[in-house]
Amino acid sequence: MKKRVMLFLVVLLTFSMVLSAQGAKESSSPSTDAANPYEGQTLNLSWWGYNMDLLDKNVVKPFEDAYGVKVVSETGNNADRLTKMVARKDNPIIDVAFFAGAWAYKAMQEGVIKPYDPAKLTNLSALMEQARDPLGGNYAVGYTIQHLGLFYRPDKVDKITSWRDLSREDLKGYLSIPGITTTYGPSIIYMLSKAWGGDYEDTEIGWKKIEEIAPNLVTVYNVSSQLNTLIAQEEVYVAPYTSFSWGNIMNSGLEVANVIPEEGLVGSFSVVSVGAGTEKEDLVHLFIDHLLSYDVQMAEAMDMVDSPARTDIVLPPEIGDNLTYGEELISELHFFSEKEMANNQKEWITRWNAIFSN
Amino acid sequence: MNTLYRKRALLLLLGPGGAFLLFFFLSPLVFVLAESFRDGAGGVTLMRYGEVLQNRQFRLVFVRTLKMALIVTPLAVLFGYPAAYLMTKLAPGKKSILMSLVILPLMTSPVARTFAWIVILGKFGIVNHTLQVLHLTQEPVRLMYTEGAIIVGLLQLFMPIMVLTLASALENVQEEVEEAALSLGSSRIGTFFRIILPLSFEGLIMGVTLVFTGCITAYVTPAILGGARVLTLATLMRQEALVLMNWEAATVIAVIMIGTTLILYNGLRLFKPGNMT
Repeated sequence: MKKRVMLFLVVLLTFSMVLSAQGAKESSSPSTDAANPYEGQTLNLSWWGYNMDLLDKNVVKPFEDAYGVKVVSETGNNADRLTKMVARKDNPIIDVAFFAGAWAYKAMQEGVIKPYDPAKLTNLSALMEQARDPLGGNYAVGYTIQHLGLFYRPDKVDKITSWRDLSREDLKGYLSIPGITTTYGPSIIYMLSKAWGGDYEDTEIGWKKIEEIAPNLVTVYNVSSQLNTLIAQEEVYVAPYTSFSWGNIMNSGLEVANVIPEEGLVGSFSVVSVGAGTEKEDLVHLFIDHLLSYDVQMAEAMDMVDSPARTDIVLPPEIGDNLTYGEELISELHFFSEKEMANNQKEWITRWNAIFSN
Repeated sequence: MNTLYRKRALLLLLGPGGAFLLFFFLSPLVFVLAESFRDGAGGVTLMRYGEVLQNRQFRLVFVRTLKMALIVTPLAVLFGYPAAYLMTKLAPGKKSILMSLVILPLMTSPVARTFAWIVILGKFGIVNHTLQVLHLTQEPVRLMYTEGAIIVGLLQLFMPIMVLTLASALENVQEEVEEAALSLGSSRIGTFFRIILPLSFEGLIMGVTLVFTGCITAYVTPAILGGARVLTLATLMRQEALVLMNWEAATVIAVIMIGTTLILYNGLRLFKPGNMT
């Protein structure tokens, strides 16, 4: 009997100790909350979803662990995601939006993104000058730099040295260019204008050259994966390509080479913006700052996901050579006005359709 | 009492499906239709239709899409009828094997199917290789990114639907009727046109409508096999809606696509053998 009473007391004591420990833990929670006011919050991102596993590893997971938040991604291409954001304009759910090229400008025009606060981005000053405010008005930060390169098959055609070479007779039936609705489509008009007329702004020359080139094309590609297929099937020997698809082009197992033509290449930034309807401004700025941080930019570059927009990232040649990286390459990049491209879009698409689909 | 019971049973059976269609199909359709006639101030207007119909690019794309649908649909009937007829004549075991073969392409992703066409119709594809081996051509012929490529792709995509619809209709044609016609001296072709076709006409209308509608609205196949060179109504509508954010024009194109299909569906009924007498 005595033993039973003893056992009961021991159990009771243990139970009360566990409860008091739990109580102590709970009572300490408020101080944790005070240290981390974002604990348990959700941050909604709208981005592409390419390389999602690597983005999770390098960007999402470290942020979730640091702030105790949950990051939810809405993925899709620029057009689809912008359409969704515009459709939900009255009941916005996106806190952070990622866009490329003129789409960011359109997002600004549609009122689905709003200016960021430069004072809240400690890493802003570490970025390239052009990346800090590419749209003007602090509507977006360029977090990664890209370029439109020119590739050719050295085993099939003579070396490409200029954008003028796209008109070469021997490339007839083996050439492709990005469509006008893609991020880099309008840039082709500018580069051809520069190559043939010496001036980017005199786009009539570029349009005239597009008309001449059109019958020589295998097709116009609308997504990078389409170009990869065309290359793998040996349909295309020469094409302008987006820098982030270079890895796949090299993996085709074919002899491929990229060049910096005499007129240079086209550069652009993928940008990140604050969603117009977000109520979590501080958390959004923390996320953007995290994306611009040295560790994240380095990790993304080393995994060859995104080329760094920071100027202090030093990469080994085997990595840097496959990205938009290095003084020589970056000095050859031309950045065209996203505003101008967005404003021209309707007219240029109509003109393009009339040439290609008549 | 019996009628009341039947009415209730009908309501119970049709209710869930009807409610689903009403909510997820009819209401968006009515919304799209109403939106296409609305002007900026909330009034009714035909202005948007005028703008779209006056656009040369739209007219070009509309005629092209219609032309491709009008080529693919009769070809699907031409190839589908014999296959469906044969299926109904086979023993159950062989019939199910053939049915599985017909259904198989429907179970493959349209994107995978379309990429298979690149392997076949590409510059170094099977067709070009054969043409060169047979010395019919010296250089590869451009087959991809043409209207021809889209027509072939659409035919492959929609022929199983035609075969299945016709086979289902032909199942209901009793063999005795066919035998009676033959025993009374009708030729096989005469029996087909006088007996089998009229009795399976509902299935034919359904098959033609499904294939035609599919051709008019298909997006993936024309986008991949035609590229930017061959715009169709669906690719043009996507461009208007998602690239230019011109929802007004996209809505009008959607209504024109629906209208075209409805005209065909009702027009075909006028040609039903019984109606022509």
